[in-house]
Amino acid sequence: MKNESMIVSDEEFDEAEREIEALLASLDFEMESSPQRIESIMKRVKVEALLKESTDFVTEGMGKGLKGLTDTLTKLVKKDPEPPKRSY
Amino acid sequence: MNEESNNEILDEDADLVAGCKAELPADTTSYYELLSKYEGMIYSTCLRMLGDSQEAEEACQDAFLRVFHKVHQFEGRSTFKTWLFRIACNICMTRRKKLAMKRERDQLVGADIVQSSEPQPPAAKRGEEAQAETVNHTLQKLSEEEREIISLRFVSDLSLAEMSDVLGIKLSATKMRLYRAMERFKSVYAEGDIAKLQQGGH
Repeated sequence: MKNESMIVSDEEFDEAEREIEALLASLDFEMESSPQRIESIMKRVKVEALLKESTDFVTEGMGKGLKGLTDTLTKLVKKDPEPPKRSY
Repeated sequence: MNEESNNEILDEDADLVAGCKAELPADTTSYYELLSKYEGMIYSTCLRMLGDSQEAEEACQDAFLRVFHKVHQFEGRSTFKTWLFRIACNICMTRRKKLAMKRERDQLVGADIVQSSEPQPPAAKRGEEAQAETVNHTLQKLSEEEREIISLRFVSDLSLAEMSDVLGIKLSATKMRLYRAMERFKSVYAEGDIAKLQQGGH
């Protein structure tokens, strides 16, 4: 089992960091943002935004619709709490 | 980077996150600014973790889409930067697992394997190109955990404190894990270098 709390001296650690830095210096890390990649992310985000907005709209509408129906039914029940007796 | 400029960046990020919370989904202005600021860094980290540009691009997109959906839940207990890196690292880990499983399945059914699951030593080349190839090869030979921590430190240039936040482990454990990963990097690199020399010798 790994013991991650094992102590390393600062000198050893710094030396190891310097060595790895020197080795990795040969790699060209592309840290700049790419306009093309950003554009494709924004395209996806805009689609997601439209979907989210329309979902919110539908959910809100359904909420209002259901609430309206519940209110109407509640009013009806309060107004006429006893169902009419059927005559045969 | 000095503490003052670091604090300025943190304040700017906090403002942009607040902007995202107020504006999204209708307005993407603040979101676009955060995206422009961190896209390169995240893509580069994904590329080192996954070793494939197409995979890295998709992982980077997924990370920013997750930000779009989850930024309202971001409570600011960590910085935005470390939160974003945590998302990206988790996505890369999941992608690597899926890729490994797919390769395993392909091997089981005897499908044509285009890319070997075991990275092959780079062919003998000269100078910097060969050096870069050996370094890349070395990175791909490391375990996911090792590659993750090396990428966070040397590609993304995160501090130990930021890395500890991203990984969700103590600072001392972060330092130890990084030290072990560096030691392993050196030993794998040395093996690759020897293999390259042997190839060149024939």
